[in-house]
Amino acid sequence: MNHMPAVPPPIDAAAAFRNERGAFFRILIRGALLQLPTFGFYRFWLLTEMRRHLWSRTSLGGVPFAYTGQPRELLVGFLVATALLVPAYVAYAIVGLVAEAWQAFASVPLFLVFWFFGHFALYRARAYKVSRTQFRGLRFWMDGSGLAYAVRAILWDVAVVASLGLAYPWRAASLERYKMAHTSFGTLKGGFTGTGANLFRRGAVYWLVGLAAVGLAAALAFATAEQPSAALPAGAGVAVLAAMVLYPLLMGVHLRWQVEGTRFGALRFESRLTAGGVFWIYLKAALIIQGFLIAAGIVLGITVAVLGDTPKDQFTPGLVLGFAVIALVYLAMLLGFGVLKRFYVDRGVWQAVADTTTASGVGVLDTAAAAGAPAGSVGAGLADALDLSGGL
Amino acid sequence: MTQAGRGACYDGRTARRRDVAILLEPGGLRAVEEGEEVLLWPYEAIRREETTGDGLTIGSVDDALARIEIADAGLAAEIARRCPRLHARADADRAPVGRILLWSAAAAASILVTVVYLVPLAAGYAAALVPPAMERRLGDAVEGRVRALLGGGGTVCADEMGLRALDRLAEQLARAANLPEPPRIVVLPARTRNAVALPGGRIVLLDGMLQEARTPDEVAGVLAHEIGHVAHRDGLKRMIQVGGTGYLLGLLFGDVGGAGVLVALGQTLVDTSYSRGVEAEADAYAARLLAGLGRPAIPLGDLMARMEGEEGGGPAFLRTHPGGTLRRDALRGGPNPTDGAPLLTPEEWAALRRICASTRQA
Ligand SMILES: [Zn+2]
Repeated sequence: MNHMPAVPPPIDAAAAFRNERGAFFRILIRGALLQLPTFGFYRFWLLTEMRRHLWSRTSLGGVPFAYTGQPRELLVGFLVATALLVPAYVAYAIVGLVAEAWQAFASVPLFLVFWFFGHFALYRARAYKVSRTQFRGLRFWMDGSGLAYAVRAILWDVAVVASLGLAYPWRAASLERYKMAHTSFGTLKGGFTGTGANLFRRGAVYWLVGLAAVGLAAALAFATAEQPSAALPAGAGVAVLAAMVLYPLLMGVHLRWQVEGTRFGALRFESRLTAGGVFWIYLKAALIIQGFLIAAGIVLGITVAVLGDTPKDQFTPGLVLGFAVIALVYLAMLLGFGVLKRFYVDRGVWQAVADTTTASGVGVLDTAAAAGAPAGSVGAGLADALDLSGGL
Repeated sequence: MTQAGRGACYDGRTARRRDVAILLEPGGLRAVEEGEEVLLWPYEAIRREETTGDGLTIGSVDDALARIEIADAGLAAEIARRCPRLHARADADRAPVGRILLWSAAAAASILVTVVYLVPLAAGYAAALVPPAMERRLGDAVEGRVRALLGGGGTVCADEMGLRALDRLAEQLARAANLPEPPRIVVLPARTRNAVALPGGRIVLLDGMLQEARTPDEVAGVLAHEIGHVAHRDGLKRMIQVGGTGYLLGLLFGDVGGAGVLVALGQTLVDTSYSRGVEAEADAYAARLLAGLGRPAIPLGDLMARMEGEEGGGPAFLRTHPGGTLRRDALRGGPNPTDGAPLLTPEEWAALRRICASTRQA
């Protein structure tokens, strides 16, 4: 007789990220340098290399994840999406112009179409990414309908706007529930138990600080209303500063809530991620990027000053060298920002989440069997073509 | 059968970790758990997987998901010795930089060729498919934008004598042009020296141009040139062309920050080279039209050359009309008759120049 319990007792396991800064930095530098000569087409290879690196260095209970996606899939997805978008753009242009002639808001439905496309593309891009994530010999995968998700997301967007942002936590909970309910690890179905109310409670302090900042900004604007030239910058300064401080804090709250609500059967996660931890990642990144831009600006300034003294009616070697320096610094600024942002923010937040996550009920993974198929890459291509593929 | 050591196996069928004996046999690597065969992989199918640990993780080309982790360095070395293509996946995963560069250059070149040669061609065919009613609506929409850009509070010039003179000039030109629908000409009280032909047969003449002109023939030349654009449906073609060019150039540099400048620059260069041919054709049309009325086209060239001299670049607002001197030289080669009756009497000409003395809301 073999009396196996239906769900094995929980075993604790920790997630971990093995930090190999040099290897990741090399991927980013190579990617940045190849972006220009390939007219941007290298981005599919860069994204795949970044994902391959991050996935394979992340583990749960000592077992690493793996990313099995291929850059060519992304390229093909992009090309197909581009072709699909041509008729949509043509219709958009014609109807938009004709509608303008009637002085009507008939272009709104078309805006809706692209909004809808955007949510659809993001859902399908997630399905592509998830179904190329391998762990313990099985793949994660997604079912569900990108169209149903897009409708849901649009309705929630409207609610968020109508409630001046107050509905945001409930939107996040609803959309995450949909995504996780349609995410599986082999035969093991995923789920999400986080609630909007819970996210709201966790973020309420920062939301109140944000309100206070808006109030302060308005007060400043009124107090300096006699000098309108000073009022706007002062108010805007407070608002921008508040947004810069609050965004990472809220992101930390959001990520922890997201990790803690995620389920795969009896498998659940705990997170020790703090809002302050995410804030420091952003602060450090901001300071480093600022320092980099200032240094580049100084080099640029010195070069321009030196060039200003040389006669411009003839091509001297110094002039050529000066313009070469300017071009190089400009390129470095253009590409360096992206490299530093990905290195310090994307990788930093990824590592922070991994290193603060623990799991219980890992034993349930033993019950998972192979299921699901890889999703197509057209959604990912559509997201890229619509400039929505911001992060990892 | 040689038992070489042990490994942790995920067989790709369940997520259960199986502690297996690894047997390195002549036919391949066999993983056995408690006497039961879990996997049998031929050596040439085995690939190393990128991983975090110090050990060796292997997979097979025939199975995307199954993995065997080997912690024992001796066993790992033995496997590496037997698997000829162990590192082939890492090699395959490395981006083929040379090929990507080559294909990207080819893609960029084909996009540029499409933009320079095929898009204008396609715009011509597409314009033929646009019904006149829709083209008029487009023109109305664009006219709103033009007005907004010029300021003037949405007014048009409406001095009664001036309008009568304009009508007489327009009527002679329209009769000679013999278009399906006569062009509708409107003068706006703006000091910019320019004239624009909009989709749908509407021509916008700016007061600045009227003041710059010295003779009725110069104004007639400008209008004849714009009627040429109307006859060729250039406004519509250009809108289609700009849209297509923008879309295609947008394919390049999908997400390189700041590259929008490069795309915009490319668009401008393409636009300018396209307009040159279009402008020459409109000039040729104007010369034929004026010749039909027995009037010369040289005054149009004189006007353009004069404006180029004054501004050092010619009017560059909304339309590119480059190279006034070159255009004058080209127009000199035409018939340029002077035997036709003057298009306007001196009184009418004076009235036309004062058309903006009074205005009304459009
Ligand atoms: Zn023209």
